[in-house]
Amino acid sequence: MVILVIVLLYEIVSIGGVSLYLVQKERKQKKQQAEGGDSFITSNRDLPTAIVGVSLALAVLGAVHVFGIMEMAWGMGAVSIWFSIAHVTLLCVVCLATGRWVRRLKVSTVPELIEKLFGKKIAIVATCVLAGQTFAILSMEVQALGIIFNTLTFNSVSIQMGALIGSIIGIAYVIIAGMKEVGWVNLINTIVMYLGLIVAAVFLSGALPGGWQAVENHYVSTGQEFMINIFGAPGMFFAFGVSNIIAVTFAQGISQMGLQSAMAARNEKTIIRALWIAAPVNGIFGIFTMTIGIAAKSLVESGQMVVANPELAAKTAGATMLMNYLPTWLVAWLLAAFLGAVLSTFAITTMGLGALFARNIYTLKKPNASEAEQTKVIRIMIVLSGLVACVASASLPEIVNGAVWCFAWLCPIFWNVVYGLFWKRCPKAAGIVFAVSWILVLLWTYTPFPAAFGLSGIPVPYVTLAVSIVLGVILNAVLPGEPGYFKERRSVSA
Amino acid sequence: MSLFMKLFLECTGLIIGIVAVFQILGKIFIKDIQEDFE
Repeated sequence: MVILVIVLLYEIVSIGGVSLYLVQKERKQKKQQAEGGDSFITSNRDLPTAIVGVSLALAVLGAVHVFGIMEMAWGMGAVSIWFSIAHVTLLCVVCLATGRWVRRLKVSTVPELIEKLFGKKIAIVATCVLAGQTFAILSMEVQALGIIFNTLTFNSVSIQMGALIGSIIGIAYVIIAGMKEVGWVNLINTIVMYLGLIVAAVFLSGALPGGWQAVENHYVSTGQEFMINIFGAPGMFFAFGVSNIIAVTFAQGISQMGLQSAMAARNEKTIIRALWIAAPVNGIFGIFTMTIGIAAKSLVESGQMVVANPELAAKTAGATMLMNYLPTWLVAWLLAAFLGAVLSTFAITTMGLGALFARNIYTLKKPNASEAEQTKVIRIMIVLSGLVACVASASLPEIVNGAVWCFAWLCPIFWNVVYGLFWKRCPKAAGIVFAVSWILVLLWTYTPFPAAFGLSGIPVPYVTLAVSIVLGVILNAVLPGEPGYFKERRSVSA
Repeated sequence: MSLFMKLFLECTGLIIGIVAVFQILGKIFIKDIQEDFE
């Protein structure tokens, strides 16, 4: 209980402090501003490099980085780090390409970009899919929040109740000042998180029986050297690493949550510079959780540590090791850091959902809705989506598989945006590629269709990637359309 | 060098390398930074 109280106090002080400061500051500034602009979701597009960097990093650093990598490290060892490295390539794509494009076009949501390229109808369809994908990710984050609170209280608080407590804190993370609040709380969380991880790594090196040398010796002596090699056993890198790079980069590279911070950046140069903060902050986090996972497995296998339920060893061994070998104050610090990481993703996904609804659905009914009215709708949606996700999180699949499935839906959107910006804007081609890709995702998931063609071993992201590239290129080459958006602009300005 | 430091340095090097390669590719292929496009 002591750990829970410390963690909750940290969250209340950091979120409450930042919110109060921003509210005071906003009151002073309100008189100077003639109109609010879309300050809630894009912070008046004034975020500096450091805030953009940490917000980009934390937006895509959540449940899977914390629990998924520890769990995967149990089964496949150090090669699990490629999930984290896939996010580094994603952040490169966001900071050097897609993030710059959305900032350049001054859009507030991804469907606004799609509307510019392919018209309103395609944008509405894309809104529905983006909202579905964002909600699914949100539900997984809520599930992770429940697990953290359950761990913090040694099972006293159920996962469902933990999800509810986490959701309430997550809503507070974003509800008061929107993107600006998320950005500043992210900065504080990143500093606290990394200090905690460094202290924990140093402490763990001394606390592990026999230190890291014993972990290494265990894997070498049992013929499992691949467990401590980041390329893993032969074939593992291509089977796991490359598929993760494809799924993460081409999905999150165009997702609302992935691009929200870039939309709020001061300018394009800010986004480019932010890469040097975002990539290490996100990528290095996974090294800590991966090493925790492989150390925990060696302790269990060598009989030096016992987990309560051996069937759930992959999921619980990492947390059990931290509880057993670290002092209470450091466990609290580390879990607060993990909670901060998950909460930041929760905050940006709820805001993304609110923005998608207010800007792309609500405005269909009320096209002249003022910014103040839209902000009100976004706030209502943040609360609603957070609470509904609590209910949905109770019946969710394994976190990693769920995340990869969600990513598959966005791959065709990524590629059609690239075609529409730089090659050709053909709504018919985009519509067909979207429809074929998404029907195939459903067939792959719910029917024996892939097995009937001997394709059951192929992951869903590969399918949507192949359709997006092959069918997308053929249709755009054959069907008529307007020149790419940037291509047209360039020829006009020339 | 401990196993943790070995893995940490390998992965950090990989991350910095990937970012550097992307930065170079970005400079070659995405040259135009057009502020305030619209």
